[in-house]
Amino acid sequence: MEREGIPTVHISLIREHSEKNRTPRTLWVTFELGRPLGVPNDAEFQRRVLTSALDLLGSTEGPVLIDYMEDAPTKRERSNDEDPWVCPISLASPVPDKAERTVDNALTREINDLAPWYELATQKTGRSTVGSSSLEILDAATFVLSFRTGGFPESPIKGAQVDRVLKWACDDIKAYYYEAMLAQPGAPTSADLDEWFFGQTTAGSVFFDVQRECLNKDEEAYQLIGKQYLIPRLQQHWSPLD
Amino acid sequence: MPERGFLENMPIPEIEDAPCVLGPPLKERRVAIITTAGLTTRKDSRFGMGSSDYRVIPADLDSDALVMSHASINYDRSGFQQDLNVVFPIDRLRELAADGVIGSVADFHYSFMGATDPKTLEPAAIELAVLLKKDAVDAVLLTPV
Repeated sequence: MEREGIPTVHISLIREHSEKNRTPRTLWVTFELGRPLGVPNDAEFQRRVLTSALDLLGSTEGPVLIDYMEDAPTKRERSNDEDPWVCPISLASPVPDKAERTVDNALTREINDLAPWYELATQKTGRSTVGSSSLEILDAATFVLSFRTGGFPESPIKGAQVDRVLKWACDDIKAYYYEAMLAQPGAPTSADLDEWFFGQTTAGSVFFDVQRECLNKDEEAYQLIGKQYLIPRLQQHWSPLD
Repeated sequence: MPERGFLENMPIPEIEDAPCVLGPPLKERRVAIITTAGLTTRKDSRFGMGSSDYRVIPADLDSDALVMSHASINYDRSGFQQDLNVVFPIDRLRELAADGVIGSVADFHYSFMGATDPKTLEPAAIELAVLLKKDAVDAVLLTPV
């Protein structure tokens, strides 16, 4: 960009990367991966980060790598709540019975149980991030479920590769669950949400089933999905395979 | 933190130092965001694994019109789910423009999918530079996830 004549400033979440790739002007922040401006719904905090970054545009000799000194507040500082977060509504526990119909019904019930909270979330924020697959949420669930017993269906979206639609449908299901939880009182952290989703929900257990089936396939695309695109590295400990 | 450890040890290309381009004072600059968060409008095609192309995000787009199709699942999306600005600070830029801290907000912003070899993004970046100049942009804010 700079070689083409356009001044840039970069917010960096990983200092080691910025040291190596030597972007001309970089503000390194200590925030969680996925949150370069630090704190959602805190305009003042975001504005401080943003103006600190934009102020670096005045520097004419680079590379400049500055450490931003303010950390994002921890959960305790935010809410004075020292108790660990627990899902405030009672969802039925994942069914021990792995029969196909039982799991299908359990996932549908779970999604329906969360529906009022998801609706509330979209009203509260005026938006939703569900929609990568373009499937309705129950259709996304049906599509993902069809992989868990070894079936590999056609792509439900014309012109889109089936393995990609699987990844997007899984992203959508997760976003639906997280948005529903975020509408409730209790301010869960990202780690709270991940532990809950992969450890305590039927949807999470379905993700592990689909991962197993993907890893059983020879096709490289499914191997890749099974290895990298269903279960975060930090949540592999819930795997029934371990 | 294991996730950070994994990423910190990734091979990162060492890029030859780029010049620091001069520009006018901040209060006269027109600012665009380029994010590697894999954002697309609902109407646009999604990013695939390893995509090295970009999508256009018009400044006046409704925030509900954006979805994230980043390949990686190893970073937090719940911040973005609560507030677009934690990744793509378009409302903050508008406020800074209204307060006279920056000159103006560009009409068009851009998105890449960051889980890809940075070298493959170069042709698209050169193309973008032309578009940015047409929009009279003289400051680009780069945000990752």
